[in-house]
Amino acid sequence: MRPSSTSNSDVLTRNNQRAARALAARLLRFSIPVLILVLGFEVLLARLGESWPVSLVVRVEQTAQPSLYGRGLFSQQFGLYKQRSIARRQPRILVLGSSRVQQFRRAMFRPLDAGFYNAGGMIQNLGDLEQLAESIEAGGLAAPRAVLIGIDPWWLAARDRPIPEGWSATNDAHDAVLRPAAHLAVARNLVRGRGWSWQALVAGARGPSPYYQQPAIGAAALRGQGFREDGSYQYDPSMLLAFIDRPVYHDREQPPVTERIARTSHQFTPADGVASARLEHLVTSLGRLRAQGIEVYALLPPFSTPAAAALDRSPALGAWWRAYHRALPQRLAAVGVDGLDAGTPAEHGLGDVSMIDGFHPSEVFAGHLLRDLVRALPADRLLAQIDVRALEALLDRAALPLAFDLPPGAERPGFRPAFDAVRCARRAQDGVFLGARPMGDPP
Amino acid sequence: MLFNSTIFALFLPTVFALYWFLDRPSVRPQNVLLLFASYLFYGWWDWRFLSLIVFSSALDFAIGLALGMTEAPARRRWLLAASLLANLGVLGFFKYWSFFRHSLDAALGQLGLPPTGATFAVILPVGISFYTFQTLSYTIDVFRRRIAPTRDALAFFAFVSFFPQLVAGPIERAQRLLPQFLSRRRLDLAQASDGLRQMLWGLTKKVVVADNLAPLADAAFNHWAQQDATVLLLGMVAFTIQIYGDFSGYSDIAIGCSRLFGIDLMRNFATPFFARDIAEFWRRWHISLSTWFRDYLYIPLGGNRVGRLRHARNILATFAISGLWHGADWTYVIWGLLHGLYALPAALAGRHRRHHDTVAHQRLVPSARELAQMATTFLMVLLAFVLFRSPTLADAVGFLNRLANGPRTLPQLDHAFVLASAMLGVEWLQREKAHGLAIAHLPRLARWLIYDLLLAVLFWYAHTTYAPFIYFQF
Repeated sequence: MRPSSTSNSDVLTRNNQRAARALAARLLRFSIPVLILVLGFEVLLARLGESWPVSLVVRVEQTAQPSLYGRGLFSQQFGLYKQRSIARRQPRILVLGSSRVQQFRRAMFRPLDAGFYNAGGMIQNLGDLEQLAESIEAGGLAAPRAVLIGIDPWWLAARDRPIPEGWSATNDAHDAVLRPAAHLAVARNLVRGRGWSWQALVAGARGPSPYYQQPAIGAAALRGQGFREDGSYQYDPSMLLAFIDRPVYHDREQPPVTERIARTSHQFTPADGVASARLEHLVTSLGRLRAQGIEVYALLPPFSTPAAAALDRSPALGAWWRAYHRALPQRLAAVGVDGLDAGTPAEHGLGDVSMIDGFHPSEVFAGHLLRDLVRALPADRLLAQIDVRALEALLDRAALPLAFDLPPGAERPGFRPAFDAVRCARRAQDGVFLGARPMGDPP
Repeated sequence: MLFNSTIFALFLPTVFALYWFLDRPSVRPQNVLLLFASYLFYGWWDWRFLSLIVFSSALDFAIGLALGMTEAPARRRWLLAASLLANLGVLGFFKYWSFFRHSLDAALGQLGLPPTGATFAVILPVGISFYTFQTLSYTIDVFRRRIAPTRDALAFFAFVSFFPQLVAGPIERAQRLLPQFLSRRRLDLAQASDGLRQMLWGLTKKVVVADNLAPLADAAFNHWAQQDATVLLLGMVAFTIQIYGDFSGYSDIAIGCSRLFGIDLMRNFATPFFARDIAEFWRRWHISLSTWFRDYLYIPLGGNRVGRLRHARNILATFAISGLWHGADWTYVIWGLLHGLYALPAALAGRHRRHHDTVAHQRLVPSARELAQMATTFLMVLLAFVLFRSPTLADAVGFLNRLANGPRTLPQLDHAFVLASAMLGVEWLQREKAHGLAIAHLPRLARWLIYDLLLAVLFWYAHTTYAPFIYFQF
């Protein structure tokens, strides 16, 4: 009986394994076209740098020539990207805050520029700031020598909401590119034709960004939009080209900041004033940074003239807006934090054309803010070592109120006349940009 | 590990390949692999709670052996009691601790007494209700001498923890599933291919239908006080179909997946929305649980072989406890009781087994009478699910009150309802088959076109945010 039973068993094993192979082959045959599509899609994303994890981007940025990082299809992962960059670079001069401080650039900080990094976008609220302080105290992030922090008014607004718990994306595993579901969503958006075309991406995957000839990491960077190697943010050059064509201020934020204020929406939901608890929370967090030997400089980032006026007039927001400009500088001065209340461009001899939108200053305006801050600093402060002459020379060389450099497309015949008009206006005002004036109507 | 996760897409082919590679005259290598894979599958969520599965398996294996070694009725009863006490004790602690504490505190408060003061929270281990009932069925069946106790610990442990049905069923009986772990499995190519089809159908029901309906149900139930009555009505429908798509989708994946390993699991859902009365609904909804309660609670209580009053008590008690099994809250208990009340009249009149065939058998269109019966049953189920989905009884009452008296506007029909209608349409056409994608009889070209269509639907409509299966919480 035994040989026969063994033989039956062998037959069953053979049949089972044959069936398993047949099933796998059948499944594979059906899946091959799908797998080819998926593979092609993933190769495209990888060639673009779009699907590179943040950890890889940060590594490449430090080892290769200066590049531009900007995802266009996946989440940018601001927080994670900036954290990882700080951890890797261990900067001596660190710019912190929301996207409103992202225009401070390394070249402005000479001779301290070697240790400069702009982490704008990483600190969106008091919870983020507290977590940063904790990370530095715990040794997770190296302590810089100086921090320039932009403090947004909505951090301090007296509203019935708890202070957020701080950034969530502290783990590389949270990177969107590592989630297959995010890849599916991206593929679906591409098929639906939302924002990006396959053709442009496929063409772009062949070489570096056509703008500034930087190696581009990510689809947005291909368009010339993203984070520079120093952490500052480069806007889409098409914005500059449009500005050269029609050099007037307009609010490019969507929805525009004045509209948000009028509707009391987004950052501008009604608030009674500045919450003293939040103010003390801020002071405590800044104190924790200072206790680590870090010099802290505060900046109240600017608003455009129409946005500032709208806030001042607003019945729901006016009290908060005025308290922010009154209470915050007073409290910071009381604890010995140097700073600058940027106000509006006019307070720095500039026009609203130096604003990207209602609450984002351009890099040229940021340079002016830094110069004005440095001029007011006591000589023993670290940032007082910044070479103001070199900074002014940089400002003087600025091609546009919005940017130091011209975008490559500006050499096209259609743009030249308008560009000349900008330069003429600039010369006429002795280096001071005046805003919202049609260029055909010089002052 | 979730069925709708990438890690599972890597896990399953790996286990499948190793499993058939290890096919030997002895089933031990395959059982070792299944046990390891099942513990990995479960431990991916939280490895600490693996100890509970190991404890439950070891206890019932040992008690089974002890039952096999004694004929003394008293000793056998003690052994069974020990198993019930330990298993239900663990389940009670992890699942019902907060519920009992809150209920006790509320009762003490009514009497003007201070609360118990016990404030610690307990995490509910995934799938505890499912595997506890599965392992209990073994001990009870050994006690009743319906099955002989097994001496193969490996097979028993693999039976308790079999990964496709570990966390959300079907709740298998030892009598049916355990022998499949004791003897050699056969991989039938046609059966396995059909298993893959069933998995594809289950996945579609989960990520295309259930997950797209979820936001509509959430909007209605989480913010009922601010919603129109029409939104609430659509929310009720959305939740009812969502929970079906979610849970029956899981069951389809589990059953299809098991077939890849030559293991046959019982059917858990049989187009319940086409039931013509509540009794038929419960013969088609979560079949493995309904029959478990029937065999291990309702019949031991006396079933229908007692007086009318005790019969009614048995029905209500079974449904109430079935409700409590779903969740530790009074909403679930009352949901169960409501279903008991629905079922009571027909059961007492002995008319509860009228509909044993499939509706509109061998016809495409149901009769007007059948249609009315199905619509009535669906409405009753719909209404009861308000209790199931509402966080508290007060919310359920408020929801129903607003549904009756709230403002009504013309609703916007979401695409999720189109997807749900398509799913129900397919299930209607396939209602006499084992699952919605039982299409082995079609020519290959037609089958491939259907697969491609489903893949396109998955690509286009699959939810990309994390959405665990609803029944994981039970």
